[in-house]
Amino acid sequence: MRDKISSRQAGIFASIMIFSGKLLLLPSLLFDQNRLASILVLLILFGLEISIFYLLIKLKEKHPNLSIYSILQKYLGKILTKIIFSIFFIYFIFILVNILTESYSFLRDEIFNEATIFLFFLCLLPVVDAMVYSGARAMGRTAEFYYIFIIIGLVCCILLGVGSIQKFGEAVDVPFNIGSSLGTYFNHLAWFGDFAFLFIFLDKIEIKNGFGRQILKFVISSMIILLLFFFTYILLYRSTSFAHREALSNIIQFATKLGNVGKITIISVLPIMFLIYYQAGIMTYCGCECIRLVTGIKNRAWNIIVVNLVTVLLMIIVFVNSQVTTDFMTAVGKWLALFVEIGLPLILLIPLLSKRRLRA
Amino acid sequence: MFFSVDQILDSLYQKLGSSQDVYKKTIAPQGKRVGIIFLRSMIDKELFTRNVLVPIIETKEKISLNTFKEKVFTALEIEKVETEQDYIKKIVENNALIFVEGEEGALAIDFENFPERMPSEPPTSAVIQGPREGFTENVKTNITLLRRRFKTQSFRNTQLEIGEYTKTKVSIVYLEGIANKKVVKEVIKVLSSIKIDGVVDSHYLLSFLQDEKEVLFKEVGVSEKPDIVGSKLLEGKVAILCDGSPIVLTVPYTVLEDLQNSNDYYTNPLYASFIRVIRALGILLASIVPGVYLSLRLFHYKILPLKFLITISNATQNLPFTPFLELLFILILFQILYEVSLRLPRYLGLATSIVGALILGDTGVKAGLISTPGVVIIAMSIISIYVVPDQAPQLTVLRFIFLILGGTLGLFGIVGGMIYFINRLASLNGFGTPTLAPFAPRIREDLKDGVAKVPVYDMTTRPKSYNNKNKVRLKK
Repeated sequence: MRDKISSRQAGIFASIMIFSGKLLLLPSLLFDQNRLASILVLLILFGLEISIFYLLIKLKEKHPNLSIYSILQKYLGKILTKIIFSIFFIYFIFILVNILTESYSFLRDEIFNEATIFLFFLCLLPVVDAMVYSGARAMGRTAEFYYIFIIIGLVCCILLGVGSIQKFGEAVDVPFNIGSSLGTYFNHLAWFGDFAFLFIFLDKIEIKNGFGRQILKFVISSMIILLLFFFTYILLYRSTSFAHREALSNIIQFATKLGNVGKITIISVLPIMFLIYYQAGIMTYCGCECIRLVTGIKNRAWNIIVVNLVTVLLMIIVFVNSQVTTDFMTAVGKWLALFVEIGLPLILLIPLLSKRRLRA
Repeated sequence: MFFSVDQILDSLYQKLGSSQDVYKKTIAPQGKRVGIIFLRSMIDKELFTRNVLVPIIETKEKISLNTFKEKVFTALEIEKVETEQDYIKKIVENNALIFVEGEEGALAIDFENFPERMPSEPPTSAVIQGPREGFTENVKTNITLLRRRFKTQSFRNTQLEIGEYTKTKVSIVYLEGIANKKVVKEVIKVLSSIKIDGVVDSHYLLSFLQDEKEVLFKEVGVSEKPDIVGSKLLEGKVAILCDGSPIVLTVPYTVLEDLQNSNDYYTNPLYASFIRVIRALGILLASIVPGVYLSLRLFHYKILPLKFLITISNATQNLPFTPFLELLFILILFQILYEVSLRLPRYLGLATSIVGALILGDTGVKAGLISTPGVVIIAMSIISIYVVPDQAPQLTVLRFIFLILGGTLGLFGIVGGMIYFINRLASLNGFGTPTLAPFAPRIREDLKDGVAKVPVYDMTTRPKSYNNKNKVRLKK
């Protein structure tokens, strides 16, 4: 029971995953290549993500007592499943490193200029580790507690931004091109795959009637909020829009309606901080579970230490800044993401469509 | 084996360590020897003389234990005891023992009568409109205060004795058919297994009822008022009353309980909801505001509006301490003043206020040792704690932790601390109830009495958070 979460909490995790990776850097990356068409790219990608969420939910409904690991083991055998979960481990670590390098540079730019990478780790790792160690149930409840405040913060950002928009429609400067959009999508595949955490968390969800609907409700509403952000950015900043690295906090800073209140950047910074902690927590948890499944080591403390060590070493030695990480994720990470986000869901279609009944 | 009355009295006297307050006497009504022994410190001698001694001397009935029990002391609470172990037990439990020559056993007459405080309004749970009585130190009185509210056969009271030397009476009270039997059994099991030398207050039991690893947050509710405990029993909770303590413990517990106040139920629901929001803000003010202020001053001054920044800069320039040391200094000073004011005789209270407010505060600012914003922030934080007095110890510790986090790691550290502590609370599940319910996990029905409070006629079900039985509370 210590590791069980409700479907609402799973939905909140999905929502956090959708927000956290996409709010910081991805918007400007997409806009650089596709301008306004990046909204359409997002729409296509969201459609794809929703269908994979749906696939995973249907799979769970079909095999409520089995985890993805057990299902894969029945179809692919032990060795192949272990290899797949080792790839998962690498994927989760890279996603974690990507989020942390982006977050670190965001925080340093926005509020904490003196912060060194070690100070950043000192803030982040103890909290994330304690969260992961306390189990999925406590993590789920904590996320549930703060979720409303995160949403309020994000919606405030949108509303304050919308209040400052003076003209509409000036940002349309590049026509939509499906080939270029798909190319952009492929290059930035590593920023998507918000459902990937479900490969690990699916067997931790308490299955009740309508659990899938509950998760999808959160997924779709989070995507709508994100799209609203997209529109707000473009309409507010016009031609620059997403190129703004600190777009989220700039919405607040440049909001003209707030003259009497003063700078309230904190409204945008706080939700981002919560999201950073959470996504790092979810990814660390997934990494630990991969280690447990592949190696059989059940001691969670050891698994957390391994994930921490790998992450810290990668960030100190290899991914020394946000640019290096971004280059790596667009050049190499996309192939890894291709397997996890496209290949594996395709493989999972087999047990979903198969009439064979699997036993726990 | 037969012993004379005098031999038994002497033996008991010695077993009780020949204590000065042991009263033993032998009388011979109708020529038959009757022995009496009790603790004079615990029994009203005049009451005893009027109700026991005089009837024994004046009775025309045959002198025997059975006659005394059935015909002479008909109005008293009497029990016949047979063994020496029971004799001792009854004497220390404030009973008078009566022996009759030639008969085995003794009559134990319950004469408990010692100085007792009258039920009065507890200082931390005052209400503007509502019941003003509070629990006392006597468990029997406390049970009476509760039972008076429940004229039903479902009211259950299981009594235990805890403490090798104190033999403290502990009552476990619940409503049959509403409270979860598993919780009742678990409470009885936990309390029965306590092997301790003594229990002098209910707080001794508190630590046994919660997760042993949890040192900061509590998993047990406390109250000093019968109306509050009564309403908790109606929600399906179990109350634990301890002799010698006016504090009644209740389980299962949720943090929401401390956000609620009995006043909320005796006032307009809209006003109650507003006050609860203020209390929630009070918790934030009490715990994180000094830390946030410090982090803004030290690391994130760019976030502050310019006018505000200038005001703070003007007030804090030329201070000899760093901002962190300054706030820590004021906080520790306030904490010392608080401790002093609790223990100082009342007539010296005014002197403490003068020393605290005028000499330490005003002069400190004028001397340039501390800044006005620092004093304001800390004072605000200290006062805010008492919007939820039951959480005062936790909030005090958290304030120090957040101050250190804000001073060393900035806002990011404070957010990390907030996540860490809420995660810690979220992992608590005492007696099967999530401590953060109904917020996390969210239980929609229970939110009716959450931060927003609906009128009583809308609260049709008992809180689902507590896994109680008989969910219907109000039939429409």
